[in-house]
Amino acid sequence: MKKTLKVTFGTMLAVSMVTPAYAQNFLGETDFLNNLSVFVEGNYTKPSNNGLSVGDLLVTPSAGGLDGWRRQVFLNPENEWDYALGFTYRYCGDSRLILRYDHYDASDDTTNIDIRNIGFAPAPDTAGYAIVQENQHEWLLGLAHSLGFDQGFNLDLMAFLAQDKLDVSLQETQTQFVANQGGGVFAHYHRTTENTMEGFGPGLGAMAQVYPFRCMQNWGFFAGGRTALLYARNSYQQSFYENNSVTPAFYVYDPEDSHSIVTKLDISFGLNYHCGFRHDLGGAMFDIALGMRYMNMFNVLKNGNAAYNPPNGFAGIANFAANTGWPQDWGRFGPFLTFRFGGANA
Amino acid sequence: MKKALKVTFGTMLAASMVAPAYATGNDFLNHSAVYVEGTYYRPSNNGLSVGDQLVAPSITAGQFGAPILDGWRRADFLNPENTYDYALGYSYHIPRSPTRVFLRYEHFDDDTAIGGVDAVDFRNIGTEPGYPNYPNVGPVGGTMENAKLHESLSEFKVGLSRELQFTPKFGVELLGFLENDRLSVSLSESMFGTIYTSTVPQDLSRDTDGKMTGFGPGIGAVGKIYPFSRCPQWAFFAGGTTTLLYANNEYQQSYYQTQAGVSGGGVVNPVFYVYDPEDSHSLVGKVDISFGVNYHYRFMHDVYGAVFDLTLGLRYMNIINAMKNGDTAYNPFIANFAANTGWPQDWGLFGPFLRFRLGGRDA
Repeated sequence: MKKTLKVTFGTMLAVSMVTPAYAQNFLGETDFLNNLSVFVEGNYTKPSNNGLSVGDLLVTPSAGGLDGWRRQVFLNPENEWDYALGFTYRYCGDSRLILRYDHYDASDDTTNIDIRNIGFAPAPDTAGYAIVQENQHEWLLGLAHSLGFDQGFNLDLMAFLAQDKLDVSLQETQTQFVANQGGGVFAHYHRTTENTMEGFGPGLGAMAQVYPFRCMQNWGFFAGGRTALLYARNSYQQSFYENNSVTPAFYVYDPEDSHSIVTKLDISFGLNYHCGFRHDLGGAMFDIALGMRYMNMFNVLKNGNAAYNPPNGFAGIANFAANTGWPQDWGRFGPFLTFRFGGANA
Repeated sequence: MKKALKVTFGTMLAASMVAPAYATGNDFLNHSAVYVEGTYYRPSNNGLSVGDQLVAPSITAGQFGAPILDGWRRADFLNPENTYDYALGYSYHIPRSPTRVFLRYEHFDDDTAIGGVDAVDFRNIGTEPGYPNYPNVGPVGGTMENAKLHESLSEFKVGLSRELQFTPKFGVELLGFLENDRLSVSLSESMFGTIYTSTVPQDLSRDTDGKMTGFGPGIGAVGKIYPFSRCPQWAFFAGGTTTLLYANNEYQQSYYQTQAGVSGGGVVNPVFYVYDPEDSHSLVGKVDISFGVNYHYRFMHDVYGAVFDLTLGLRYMNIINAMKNGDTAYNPFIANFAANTGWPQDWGLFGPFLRFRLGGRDA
C-alpha cells in the first residue's frame, strides 16, 4: 500500500508539473516547454541478494562429534513496487539533458526454532529472528545524443554523473530458555550489522531503438546499458550484545571507513509506444515503455574490509576473529513501466 | 621529485622524437603523433586492513556459559594518497582513412606506510598484543607495528581507433585493442614487543605478495562535443573502454616469529609459516572511464602545419576481482592459523591527468 501511494504520488507530481506547462505552451508557445518532458516510472524489482544467510538448521545429527546434515536459511526479499522520476530537456537538435532519481526499499524477515546463528549452537527451545532492510537511492545527471541512422534504427549515446547510496541493515536475535539458571530465565543474543556505501562518479551508456513495423511506427523495441564507476565511501559496523539488560558481554567491530572504486552495470530492454498529439496540447507527445532492468554493482559491500586475525595459540580474549566478511555484489532486477510526457520537440 | 623527473624525462623524450620529425616534412611523420601524459592518481585500495585496536574491552563473561567476547574493536587501514606518474603514447593516422594505429604505455607506482606511535598495540598478523591500558583484563603486553604497502601497475595497449564525425559539433571515436597489464601489490608487516602469550619481547614479520599479469582484448568509445561555434578548438570529451584479461595470479605469504635479542635473529629456529599456492588463472573484467576538456591547435605556417593538443581530464579505472589472494580455502585443523589467505579484491585507481600531444599535419 505504501508503495502504491508512492507511485500514485509520483504520477500526480509528474502530471501536476506537466499540465500547467503544456497549458501554457498551448497558449504561449514557449520553446523551453516544447523541449521539456517529464517521466515517472513504476518498477517492480527484487534484490539479487547474494549471501544473506542467517544461520542453519539441523536436519539429521551425526555421531562422532561432526556437524551432521545442515540446511542454511536465507533472507530473500521479494519483488517490491517502487518508483523513479525525472525530466529531459532537448537542445542543439538531437541532444538532451537528463535528470533522473530512482528510489528502492525492500525488506524481509524470518523466524526459526532451534537455529544455529551468531556464533551460538542452539540449545532446545531457541528462537531466532532476523530482518534485513535494503535501501537504495540513485541520482543521474547527464547528456544524451541521438544518432538517427535511418527511420528504422536510432542510437542514443549517453555520458552522465551518477550518485548512489546503498544501505543494507541486518538485525539478528536469538532467544534461548535456560532452565538451570535461577529457576529458568531467557537469555538474549542480539547482533546488528550496518553496511553503507555512498558513491559518486562518471558513467557512459548506449541505448538502441528499433522500429521494425513500417505500418506501425509508434511501436519500437529498445535495448541498452549503462556503466558507471563510482568513487565510494564504505561504512560498516557490527555489534553483538548478550543479555543487554544486565552488564552485557559484547563485541563491536567498527572499522575505519574505507574508499574504493565500484563498477556498476545497468542493462534494460523492452517495448516502447510513442504518440504525438497532432492537434491538441500544442503537439505534445507521450511515451509508454514496458521493460526489464538488470542492475549490478560489483563488490559494492565491503563488509568492513577487516582482515583475518585469528589468535596465535591461546590468546584467551579473541574468540571471534575480526573477519567481518568478504566483498559482495548488490543488484536488483525486474520489470518497469515508464510514462513520459513532453512538448512537441521533447 | 623522482616522479617529477620521470615526467620531465618523458616530455623530453617525446619532444626529441617529434622535433626532427617535423623538421623533415616526411609523409610518414606527417601522419604520426606522440604524446606524454602526467598523471596524479591514487589507488582505490579497498581491503588493506593492518590490524585492529581495542577501544573498550568486554569485561564480563557470558552469563550462560558463553566465552568472553572481543570488545569494541576498530580496524585500521593503509590508505595510499595521490602520486605523480606518467604515460606515453604514439599514433599513426592511416592515409586516406579515418583510422589510426596507436600504442600506449602507462606506469603507476605508489607507496604508503604506517608505524611508530600511530601503530601501537595493534592486533595483527595473528597476534594479540595484550592489554596495556586495561591491566585488570589481561596481561600487560605492549607492541609497536610497522606496515608498508607498495602498489605498481604497468599497462600496455596496442590497437586501432576510428573516428566517426556525425555533425560539426559531435563525433565519436571507436577503439579496438589488445592490452597487457601487470599489477603488483606487496604488503610488509612487522611487530615488536611483548605479546599476549609471552613475557619476552618477540619479533614478528609477515610479507604478502600478490601479482596479476593479464592479456586480452578490449573495446571502447569516446564521444567529443564542440559546443562553441566561435572557438572550435575547444571540446569536451567523455568515454570509456572495457577489457577482458586472461590473468595469471601469483601469491605468496610468509610469516616469521623469533624471540628478540636471540643471537642470529630469524635464523635460529624461527616459528614460521609460508603459504605458497600454485599460480592460478582467471578472466578479469576491467572498466576504464575518462572525461574532460581538450584544446586543439594547428600551426598555420610553421613546422609543416603540425597539430598540438592539450587535454585535461579525470580518469576512473577498476579491475574487478583482480587480486585473488591465493584462492586458498578455509582449512583449520592442526595449525592454529587457517590458510585462508583472503578473498578476491578489486583494484582500481582514479585522479586527474594532463596530456600533451604533438603530431604532423595529418596526424
